[in-house]
Amino acid sequence: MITIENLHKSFGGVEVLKGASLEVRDGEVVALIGPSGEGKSVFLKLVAGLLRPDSGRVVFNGKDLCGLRQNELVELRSRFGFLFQNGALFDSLTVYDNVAFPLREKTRSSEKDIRERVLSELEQVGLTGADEKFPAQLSGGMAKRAALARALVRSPEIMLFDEPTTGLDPIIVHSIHELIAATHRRLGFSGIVVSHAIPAVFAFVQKVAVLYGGVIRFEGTPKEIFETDDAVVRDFIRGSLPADAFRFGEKVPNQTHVIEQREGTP
Amino acid sequence: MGLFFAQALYFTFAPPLKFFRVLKQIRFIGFGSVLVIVLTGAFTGMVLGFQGYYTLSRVGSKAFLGSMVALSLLRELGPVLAALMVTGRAGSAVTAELGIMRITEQIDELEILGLSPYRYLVVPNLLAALISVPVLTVIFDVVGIFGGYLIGGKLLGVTAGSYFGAMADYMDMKDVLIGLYKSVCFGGVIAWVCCYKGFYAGFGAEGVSKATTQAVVLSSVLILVCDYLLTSVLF
Repeated sequence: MITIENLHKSFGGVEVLKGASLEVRDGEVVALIGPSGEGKSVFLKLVAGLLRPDSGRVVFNGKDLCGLRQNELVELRSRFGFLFQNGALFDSLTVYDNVAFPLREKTRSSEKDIRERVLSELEQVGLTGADEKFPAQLSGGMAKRAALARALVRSPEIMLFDEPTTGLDPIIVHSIHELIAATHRRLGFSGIVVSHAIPAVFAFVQKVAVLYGGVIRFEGTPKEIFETDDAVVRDFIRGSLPADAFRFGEKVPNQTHVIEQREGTP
Repeated sequence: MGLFFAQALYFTFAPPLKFFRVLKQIRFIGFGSVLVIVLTGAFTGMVLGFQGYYTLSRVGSKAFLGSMVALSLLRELGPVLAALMVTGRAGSAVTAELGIMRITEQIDELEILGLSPYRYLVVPNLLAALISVPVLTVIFDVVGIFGGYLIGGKLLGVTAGSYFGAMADYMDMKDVLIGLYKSVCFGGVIAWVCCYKGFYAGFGAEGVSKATTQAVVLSSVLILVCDYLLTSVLF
């Protein structure tokens, strides 16, 4: 479980986070939504220990990441997976070498085992045959898939997704979401997904958190967010959804139908 | 910047060393700079041949041309000009590469993978520069000396025996070592400044552009400042 308590972070005198708190239970995936520029990516990087908060705590398995020394943090961080907004593939390496990189550097697996693992992971994300391509030769969707394969190849306990579908067409968005949902079922990681793909992202998360004004303004299930009385959250969701989406459970859109099905499942 | 250098030094001596990345960077910084070093060395030596001949002939000491060219190159011009050339050709590229890795979050990805960016990105460049710049300086010096002979000997009539004999008479090992000490220091300065500027590049293309410019300017100025300080100490 990850407990994020009262995070504060400023850049150049501008306070981006003003006491954001969130809890992610084991095996739970949380969608972190909110207007652009509210600090969602900053929040995610603080959780991963890539940035240090001005104050607040990120507690993972009883350890406060913010109080760890650099070498302890590096070790703990290897249990995390992070899908960056632009994939962050190493552009001097092929797709195969990108996915193999963590295994070569952090395990003592033989090259034969690494090959099996990498090809299997590439198959899982639908990139069979693309292993010898360089990142510059990939489409946006393929790059995201390759980055996802690299993030998942070591079976992380925590997965952090920073806008995994931004800039992709709706079909690719759907396929990336399907892929994240499938890998979550397969690996059972806990995770946070920063996304603007509303309501599509609600289809595969257990909880939704809205970051607004530097704090987590709303925290609840995908169903609860449609029923909230908070005008700010309602306005934000309203701006992201067709009007009829608010009649939750009554009609369309497809994604809310999926949520309704999942919510009814124990 | 001091903390950055200290961390780079720490990871240089803390195993494991990424040997193949060091070799790759030696190939890029060292081998890749040979042509520009040969060209600048040759023309610098040739200019020294002309200017030295002109100056020495006015005081009737043309026979000292070889020692004048060699001492100028070994003690001063070789290390400084070679380092400036490496800064322009390889240092700027290192800054741009690290800057792009920073803005595309590849450096963050290394950290997420539980790997030290210092070990993977900074140490190989530091070691490669510490090894390559002295070697390039030696190439610069040798080519420059022959460039000086080409002008002084073949064009202006100073004999080979006079040119190279004067060199042997008025030079000692200390002159060679001073140049090498300087070049090692300059190699460290180039790697330190260029890696630091790339590592902490600002946002977007403009951030990388500014980082690259700052890296070249700061490295060049620091090379000249260090040259003065080292010359003062080793004079």
